[in-house]
Amino acid sequence: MMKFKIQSYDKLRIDPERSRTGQNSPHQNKFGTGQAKLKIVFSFFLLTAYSSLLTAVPVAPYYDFQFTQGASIPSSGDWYFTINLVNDFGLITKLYKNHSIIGLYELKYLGPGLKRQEGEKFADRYLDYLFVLRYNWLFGKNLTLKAQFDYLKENRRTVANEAWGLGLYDYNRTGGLVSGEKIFGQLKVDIGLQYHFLEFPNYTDLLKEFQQGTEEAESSAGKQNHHLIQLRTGAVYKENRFNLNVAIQQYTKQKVITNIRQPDGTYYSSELQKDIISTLSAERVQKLRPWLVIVPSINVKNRTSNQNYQHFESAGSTVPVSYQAKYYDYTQLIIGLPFYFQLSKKWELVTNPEFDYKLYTNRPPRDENNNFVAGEKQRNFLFLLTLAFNKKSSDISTTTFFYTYQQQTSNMKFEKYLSYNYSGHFFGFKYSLRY
Amino acid sequence: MKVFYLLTHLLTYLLIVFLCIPPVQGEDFWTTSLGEGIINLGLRFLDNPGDFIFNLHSDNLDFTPVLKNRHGTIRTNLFPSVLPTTWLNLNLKIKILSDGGYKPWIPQVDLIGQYGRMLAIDLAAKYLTENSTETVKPALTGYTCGLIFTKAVDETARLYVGVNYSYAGVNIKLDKPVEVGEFKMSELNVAVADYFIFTGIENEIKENKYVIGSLGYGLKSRKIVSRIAWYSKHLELGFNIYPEGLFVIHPFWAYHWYF
Repeated sequence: MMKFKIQSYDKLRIDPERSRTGQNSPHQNKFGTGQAKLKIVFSFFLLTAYSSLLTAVPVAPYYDFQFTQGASIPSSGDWYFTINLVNDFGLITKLYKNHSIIGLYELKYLGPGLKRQEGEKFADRYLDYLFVLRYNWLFGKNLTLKAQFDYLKENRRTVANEAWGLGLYDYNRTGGLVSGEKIFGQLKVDIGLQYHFLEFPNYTDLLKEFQQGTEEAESSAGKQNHHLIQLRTGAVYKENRFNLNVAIQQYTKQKVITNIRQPDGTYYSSELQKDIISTLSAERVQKLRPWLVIVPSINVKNRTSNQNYQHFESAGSTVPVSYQAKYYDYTQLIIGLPFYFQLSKKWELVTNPEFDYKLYTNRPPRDENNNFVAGEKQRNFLFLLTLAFNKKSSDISTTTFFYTYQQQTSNMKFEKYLSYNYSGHFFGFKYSLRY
Repeated sequence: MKVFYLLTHLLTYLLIVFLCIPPVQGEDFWTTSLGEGIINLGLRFLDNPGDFIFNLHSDNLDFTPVLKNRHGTIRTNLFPSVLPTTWLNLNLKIKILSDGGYKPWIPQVDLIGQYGRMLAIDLAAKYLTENSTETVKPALTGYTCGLIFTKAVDETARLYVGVNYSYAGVNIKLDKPVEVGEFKMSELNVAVADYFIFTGIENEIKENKYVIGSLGYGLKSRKIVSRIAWYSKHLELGFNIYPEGLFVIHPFWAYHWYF
């Protein structure tokens, strides 16, 4: 029975610009109205399929259980006990000589804690369901073709008593990819095309969110239904890896905000929002000593959007006080330099400094009173330093003791709802069982 | 080693009892940070009492496969069930099919059942309802039934999936309301039930020593329950994890017999 590790499905995840909600979903029945009977029938089908597939055809299972427990201590705001749980269950089956199918189901819970994405509250919790079905075809000796269908459902809770499934920024992502990978000696090249549709079933309206949330409005305008088309190409040469990714987000209903009041009394133009995100990354795995490996990496990201921003002064106000064009355009640079020290057969030490610069092209920062500062552009700088001891207790289990120092500085000074200038500590342990 | 386990849990229990003793008595107590903390806990409990009771009930559940060379398991959770809450419980697992027994592809199939009830409430009910006209006796009960499918993936590791139906309910009426801050509670009548899908992994780390990790998902409630535990010949130690629960981590201590 062969072993396999699914390493690439994470790359399929989109990195949506998370923004926060200024609204609380109504507290409803905590046990929801799920179609439990249908789910049970489906589950029994899965169980039967799992049982029979294990030996009916060449099948290998994959299982990954991860539990992270820690404390998050920011310099401003509340402390949190953080818990993350990840549960992956997968099967790979080789149908014919060069044809295989991979199925994976992931259930992930992310608890409150320090966040690195701008616009996320420390108190937010996430529940993700991911299903992946991938078909691999080894065509000849050096060419692999892949086709994939995947579905992701994300639920988000922003307040303690909010029911799962009612979050303003809950979303469903449905789609797939086709890709090809060709090996030329020491060079491996791949190219892939992805399409996904992102649906935000509970989202209402961008401008209403601004008006109701007033100063809280910090949406990155990425939380409305949209089509996502991604073209990705990568190359691996010896210990070097390069990637280029271009993503186009075409919104289905979200109109572009303008500074001119329209005949219908709104500030929406007839133009639909469209974003383009380009990412270029490079990484090298360098073995310096038999016991020391470094993996320097650089990642450059650029986002352009035709969406603009209207600033409202008070709750319920219908008269904007400031118009900001190209409010969501930015360039981001992320540099990482992790060191891996192999201390013994069982122990490994990892140190990972990471530098994250985010420079807005047109967005001015705001002062303590929520007024835009003319002549400046918003800049965020995030520094992360992680120290981790990994202990491999057995072939299956690994325990990690970690500490992360996180510091963010910004010329954005309005921090009534979100922290932009803070430092934080996150420490704890992670336990994983993986087969 | 057993003495160490016993002492560890005895100290944990004493620490909890010690922490629950109010250092300041009287009305001023509720204005202290400890008092406010207790009020917050009480309010969170009142916000969803069924969830907390269901978590305590889930502590009693043994949703792991029968050992491959055994026929079944009887198990009782001692802490935090029998001690300190007097929640008596018994869990029975029976292997009805062996892994690869008839056909190589057939997994091990276990049938499980669990029942428990809180002795303190039963005793109180017997005393309080002697002269009462209430037809429904106060009680706190829970039960579970389910199936587990297990397949060995190598000599030391087994993967399992399963489904169960789990119920926990409480029915209490109080003559004198319990007051937590501005809230009053004179009746607690809650029942929680759900179907859960579980997946897990068992790893034999030494002879008769096992570590397990599992995660369950409630189909109606979208509730996550998880467990990391270490099993020896008779003892089980570990953590139950309820990410959105009143107490997120429940350390537990259980005793079992294989047959």
